[in-house]
Amino acid sequence: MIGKKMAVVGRQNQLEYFLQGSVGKESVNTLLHRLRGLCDGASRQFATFVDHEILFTLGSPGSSVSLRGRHSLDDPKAPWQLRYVGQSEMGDKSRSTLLRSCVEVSTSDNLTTFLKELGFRYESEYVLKGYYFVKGHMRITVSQVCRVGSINDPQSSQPISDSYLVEISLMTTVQQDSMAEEIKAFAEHLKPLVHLEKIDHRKLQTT
Amino acid sequence: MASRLAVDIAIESLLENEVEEISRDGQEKYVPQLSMSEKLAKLAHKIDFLSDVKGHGEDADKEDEEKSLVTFQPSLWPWDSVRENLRKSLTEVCVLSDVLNVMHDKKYMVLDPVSQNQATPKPTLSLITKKKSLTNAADILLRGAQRMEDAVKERADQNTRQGSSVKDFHSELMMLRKRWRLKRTGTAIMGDLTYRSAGSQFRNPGLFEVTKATRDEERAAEQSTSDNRALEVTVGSDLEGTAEIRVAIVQSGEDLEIATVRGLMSGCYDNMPTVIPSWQQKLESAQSNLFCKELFVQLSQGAYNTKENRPHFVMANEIRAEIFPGTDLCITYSCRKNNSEESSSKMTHRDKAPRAHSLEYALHSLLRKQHYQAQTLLTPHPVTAYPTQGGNKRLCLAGPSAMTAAEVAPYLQSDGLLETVLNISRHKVLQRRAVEVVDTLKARLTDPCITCHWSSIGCDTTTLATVHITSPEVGHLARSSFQLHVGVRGIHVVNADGDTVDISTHAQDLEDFILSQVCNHRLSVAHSLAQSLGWHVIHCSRHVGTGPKERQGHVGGLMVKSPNGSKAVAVRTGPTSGVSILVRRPQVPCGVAPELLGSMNWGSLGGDFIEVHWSKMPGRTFVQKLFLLLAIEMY
Repeated sequence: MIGKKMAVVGRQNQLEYFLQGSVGKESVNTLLHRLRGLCDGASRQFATFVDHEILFTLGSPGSSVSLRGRHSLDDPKAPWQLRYVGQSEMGDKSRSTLLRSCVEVSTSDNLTTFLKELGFRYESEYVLKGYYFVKGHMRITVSQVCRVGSINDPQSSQPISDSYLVEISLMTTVQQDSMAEEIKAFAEHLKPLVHLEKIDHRKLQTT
Repeated sequence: MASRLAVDIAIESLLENEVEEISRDGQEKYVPQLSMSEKLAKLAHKIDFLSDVKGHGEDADKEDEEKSLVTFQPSLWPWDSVRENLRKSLTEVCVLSDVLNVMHDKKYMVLDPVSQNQATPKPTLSLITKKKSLTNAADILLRGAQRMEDAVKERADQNTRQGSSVKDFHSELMMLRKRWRLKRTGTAIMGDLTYRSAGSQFRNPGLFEVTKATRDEERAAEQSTSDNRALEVTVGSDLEGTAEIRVAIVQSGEDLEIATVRGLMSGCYDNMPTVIPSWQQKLESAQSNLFCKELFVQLSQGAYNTKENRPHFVMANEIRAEIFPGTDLCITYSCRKNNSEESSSKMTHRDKAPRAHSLEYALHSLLRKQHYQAQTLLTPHPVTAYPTQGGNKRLCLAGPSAMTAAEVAPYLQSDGLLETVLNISRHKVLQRRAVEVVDTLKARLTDPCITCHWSSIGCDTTTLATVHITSPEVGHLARSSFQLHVGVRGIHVVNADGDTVDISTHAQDLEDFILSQVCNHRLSVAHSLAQSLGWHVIHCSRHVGTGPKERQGHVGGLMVKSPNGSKAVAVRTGPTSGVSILVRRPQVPCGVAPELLGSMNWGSLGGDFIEVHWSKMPGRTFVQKLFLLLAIEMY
């Protein structure tokens, strides 16, 4: 059934503090230059990435589990990644970022087959194309969300819109709200270009 | 009576909350109650403000109005008061906008500010205040002009005194800023000498201070030869002078090879003194001193963390590590404060041993490589994956592709700085030994010609050499070659026929190997020579089991018979004993009358083998002698 062994290396019980925002195409270059100045490794060139993410669900609507299979299109030899991303919590005003639980694991490239054998259904897929920055433990991505033309053909992706998704995230194993402050402070530096705010995902889904 | 009838009555609030779900253990989960603000929002959501506006629009239609009045029965609707207030405020806003419109037209009404009884202006007082402020402003302007004039005069003075090359402090500072990282803290200007921005994690403040040069008359006279700068830099006392790391391979007390990493020597900019300011040289030398410091610290940390069975010694400014038994690597750090001539001449006197350039290069490049690796961040694939800092790509795949511990192990261990330096010096020593062995053998053995080609292509830890053993007289008949791979912990030999042998680091082993190859070569030369002359080979073996034993190696033997079968020649050749040749001639049994023997075949019974006095044979080489012997003995 499955040729290779499925071996896993992963980190469990992770918490991800994150902030999201968006920036228009016309000012993305300015943002990239600013990020290059602010982030680590200023001397190096922009690090780009193209990732393909497929969403799988198990169970009936209402009580379902969703898992995300993600792999890089830039580097086909790199391992795939299976992610579970929890509901993002708004929290109260004292916490300045969103918080969600996150379980990640690296897998071999036959992940899709494995999930389908388990009974997961293909839900949707998309491609993220953009730039990647690191500042300390923070990970900053500026990327365009692309719609995939036909199923399982990530090469045929087209950008959904002209705007770029900006995301600052920080992974930790223990809940430390001081990290949220760190993210907030960094987001302040990008202020006139992009406003990174807490966005209530539940509201987005209901409307 | 009443007390007897006392019954506990539980008063419970009505179940106001909706049940959201009932879990499997029967517990009910309620929809949380709305807070006040949420309730308000919910109610406000219900108000249909538009309907009110519509009602206004269709004011003319009486019937409709009546209908709307019916629908908005105050008693029916709890939000009537809110509506009333909103209507009231709308009316007020309308009135206000009407008033503003009327005002704007200025047709019916004009607004004028109402003047209250003002204080009568006093012209003399205002004049005085104006005059006072004007004089203040004039003072400031005059003072500024005076200062500018002074500055211009001073600069002109300096120019006339010291020539036009002198620059002022600020332009000098600008030049400095172009080359170095500067930071202003309070009144002082500090600069950064460290390699921190290039990825170093060495903890040394590495600061320098920039000050304006003090121009005393006597100092100016004193420094008249060196270029006079308006700017002075002060580096920390630990970075002054010239630091040096000296790496020496020591064998029984004497240096075999040395490599040094030095801070910049003074006078390395002699050819372009006008372009490079004096402070640049000072800062660069301080920075290279810092480099030496970091290198030494890294090396000594490597010495502490070693996992070898014989620990390395670290004593103050010296690291001693054993590379081979009897051969040590000695790394010393020294710092000379004064660059006096005698000390440098003493140094050159001491460094008589040849310089190991590759070791020197490795010392420079390894630390820089480490810095670079610390700084570069690989983009993880996919980006959500855990970033690996300068890590091995194979390691990322280890988990997902289910590699075993044995498969992963080679990627996990990375050689430290010291380990790499040790490996390079091990190779250096080994290479040196191999060269010595081959050279002495070449000088000692003139007979088969040994030629050795050292490959020009190689790396720090591998060298290739090809050795040919030939006999010039019969070059086409026999030629043995083998290749030496001089590595770190041994020499790997590949023979022409593809056999491989691993030789230890001892020089004697390599010598023995080459001697046995020489011995084999002689055997094969003799074999092909005999065959070409028409002799019959009876026996040929590289390892002969008979006769006296060699101290080392094996004796090769060859037995050939003359074409007519009457004579036999035996060749024995050993790596240490050399060549010995025995000849057997046909011998008629003595004491028997020849007529009784009849057939001549009795002669092939043979006699004893008689050894040839090999050294007395005419001819210079083995081939010449053997050729002569075989030719003489043929019939």
